[in-house]
Amino acid sequence: MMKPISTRIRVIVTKKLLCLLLTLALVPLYCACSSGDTADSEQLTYYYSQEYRDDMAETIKRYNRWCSSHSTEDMKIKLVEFENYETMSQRLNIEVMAGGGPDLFSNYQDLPFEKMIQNGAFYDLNELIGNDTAQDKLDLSLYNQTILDAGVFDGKRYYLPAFYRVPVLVGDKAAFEKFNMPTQQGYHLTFDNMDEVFADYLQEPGGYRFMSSNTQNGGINADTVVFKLVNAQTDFENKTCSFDDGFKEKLELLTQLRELSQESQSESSGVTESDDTPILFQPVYSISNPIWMETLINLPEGVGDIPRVSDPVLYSYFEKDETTYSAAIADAIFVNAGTKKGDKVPAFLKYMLGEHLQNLYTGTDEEYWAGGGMDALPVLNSAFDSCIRTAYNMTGDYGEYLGVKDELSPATQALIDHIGHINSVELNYDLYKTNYDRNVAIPILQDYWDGKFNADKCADNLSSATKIYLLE
Amino acid sequence: MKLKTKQAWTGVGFALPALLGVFIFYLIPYCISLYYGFTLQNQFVGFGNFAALMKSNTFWLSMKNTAIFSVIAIPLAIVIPLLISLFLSTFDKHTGFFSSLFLSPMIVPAASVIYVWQIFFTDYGVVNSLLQKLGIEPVVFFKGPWSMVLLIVIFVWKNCAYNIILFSAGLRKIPRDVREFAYLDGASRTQVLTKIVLPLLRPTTFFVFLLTVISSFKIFREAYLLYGMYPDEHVYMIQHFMNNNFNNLNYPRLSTASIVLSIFIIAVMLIMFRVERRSDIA
Repeated sequence: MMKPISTRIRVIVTKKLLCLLLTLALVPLYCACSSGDTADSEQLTYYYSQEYRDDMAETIKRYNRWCSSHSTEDMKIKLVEFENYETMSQRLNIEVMAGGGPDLFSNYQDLPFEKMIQNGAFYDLNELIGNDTAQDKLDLSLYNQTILDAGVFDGKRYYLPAFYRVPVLVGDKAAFEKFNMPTQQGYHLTFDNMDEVFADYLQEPGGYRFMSSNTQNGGINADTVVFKLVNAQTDFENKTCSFDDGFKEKLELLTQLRELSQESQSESSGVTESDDTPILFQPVYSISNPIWMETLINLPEGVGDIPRVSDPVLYSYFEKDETTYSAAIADAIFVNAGTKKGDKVPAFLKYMLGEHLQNLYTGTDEEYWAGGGMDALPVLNSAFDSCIRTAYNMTGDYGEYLGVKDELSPATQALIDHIGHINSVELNYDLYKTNYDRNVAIPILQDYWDGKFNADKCADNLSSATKIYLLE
Repeated sequence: MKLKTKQAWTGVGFALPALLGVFIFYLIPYCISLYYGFTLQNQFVGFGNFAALMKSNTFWLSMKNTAIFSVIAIPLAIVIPLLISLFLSTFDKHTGFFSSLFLSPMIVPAASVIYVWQIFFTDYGVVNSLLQKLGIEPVVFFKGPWSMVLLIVIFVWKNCAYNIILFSAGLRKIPRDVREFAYLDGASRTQVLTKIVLPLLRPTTFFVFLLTVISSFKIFREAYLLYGMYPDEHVYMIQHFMNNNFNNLNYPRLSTASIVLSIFIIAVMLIMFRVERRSDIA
């Protein structure tokens, strides 16, 4: 039986209304998908936040100015600025999860780089550099191979470091003598010999704090020493780990040293709450640039509240073993594997690894304090040589040139020797930022420090969690 | 006819908001997941992601633990409330009070519950202190197989009350006359239970089963709060695997795992519905 025409019309109109409603409901979805989408831009993109220091963003700003002055506007990189770090991080995560995101990443962003490398989320930079048809093609043989090859996994180059740091410890010779610690420059402090080195200090700290407990101090503090110990038990490449009895002993010893680093200590430990409490290892000297080191050693008044160390002695920074000399990447660039603008990347890489910027950020250029660098080392060999030459310069209180020194201080010379031995490179200088430490090691260690369990259980938990992390 | 059409459209109108929600928040993301499951860096890789997932030791570890948890915890979370409901049904009064009392674990936020459980079960917690006073070796509840036991206990404890209420309601629906006639005919208590009560309670049991299965997937909240992102290998559940791969931005693996899991859940549900329908017909 046929329906009356009026009913059929009503049904058709209702259907159309419903379709319209359905379509309207999808509008916000499409809006959400397209809002702020920068992937369609002709320019390479990079996200950064004003909240924290990001030298890569500064480099890009310089690069963009350089592009303007060289009439290569189309090669500029679009900087997407976020007011706070959290917003940027959320946006980055969502976009990368959706297979998009900016074209460039750097280790200033808290991304799970180790896992992303495994997942093939980054472009093989060897391929990008190899495809560059420009005459001034990047010649990687001019750079520090040990540092540069840190970004190579299974023959593919997933990131390019621009600057690196060499964590070292510097303290006062008189204090070291007081605690019967070795006083030779460049002493190779390892997790294996630390019990002997600090035996007397642990017996009687004599009012000395061990080192800074300030977590903002450029990645070196009493906590990160423990993180480094945990990392030393883990072979990320072969996906194995060992948290044996030796580890437990070292963990307990380092926890003691960590407690001696706290700003507020009870009288019973021999460390007072006074602001003038001397520190065994001065945090300001956790600086790897010879120019900076030489400057600090020679400043008559010290820096800020930290007094000058009159007779500095340099130690390596808790190495894994006798043969390991470690460094950490300060700035590294990654390229999104999904980028459609890979041809524009080599120009930026050449600028970032070029002589001008490499010299500028390490203090050998006329813009001495520019860029906020200074504490890092350049990967370009000629810039590194220039950095050492500059360390010989004598400067006045206002940075004015006064002449050339005959020789560097013994601590700076020991630092240069140490740099020459580097054979192990980590991606992050600040261990609070690595994916493994942030998600696996730190929560367990924090529970241990809070007294929720003992060292045995801590080692067990670390072992169990690390095994899962490595295989995941 | 006219009225029927009008009623049908009214029904569609009322269902529309919910349907839109399902469409936007479930179906579209699921289709996107399907796309990611077959691609890597926007390139089609066929079943490559699935093959990689099948080789993943952590995936199988999480599946194994989830299966162990489900096989033990779900039956316990059904049987214990059923027994309690049967016990409560023998009382003529005050069952409402007991039901409300049992409901309290559901009201308390998960974080608070976990905090209390930590106080009880940590190495230096209440339970271990009592054990030590009794001269018994302390138990490490947060490590090894005990960690799974603890998780199962929490799950059963949390879900008991709701299931008791459902079973109690189901038991109240069974007419007393039926049981009384059975007793008059000389049936024993066990026979009444197995031949009358349990068969008549089957729809309620099926509903409780579905809700408990759904609830078992929410145990991640408790597992995460108790053991963290990287727990002991005995309590590394499928949700840990998914959550960690989400944090690691490994979207192909995450999508692939969610597809495999959804297929598995749909298959289990279909089997259960079929079993339920067959038993209804029988």
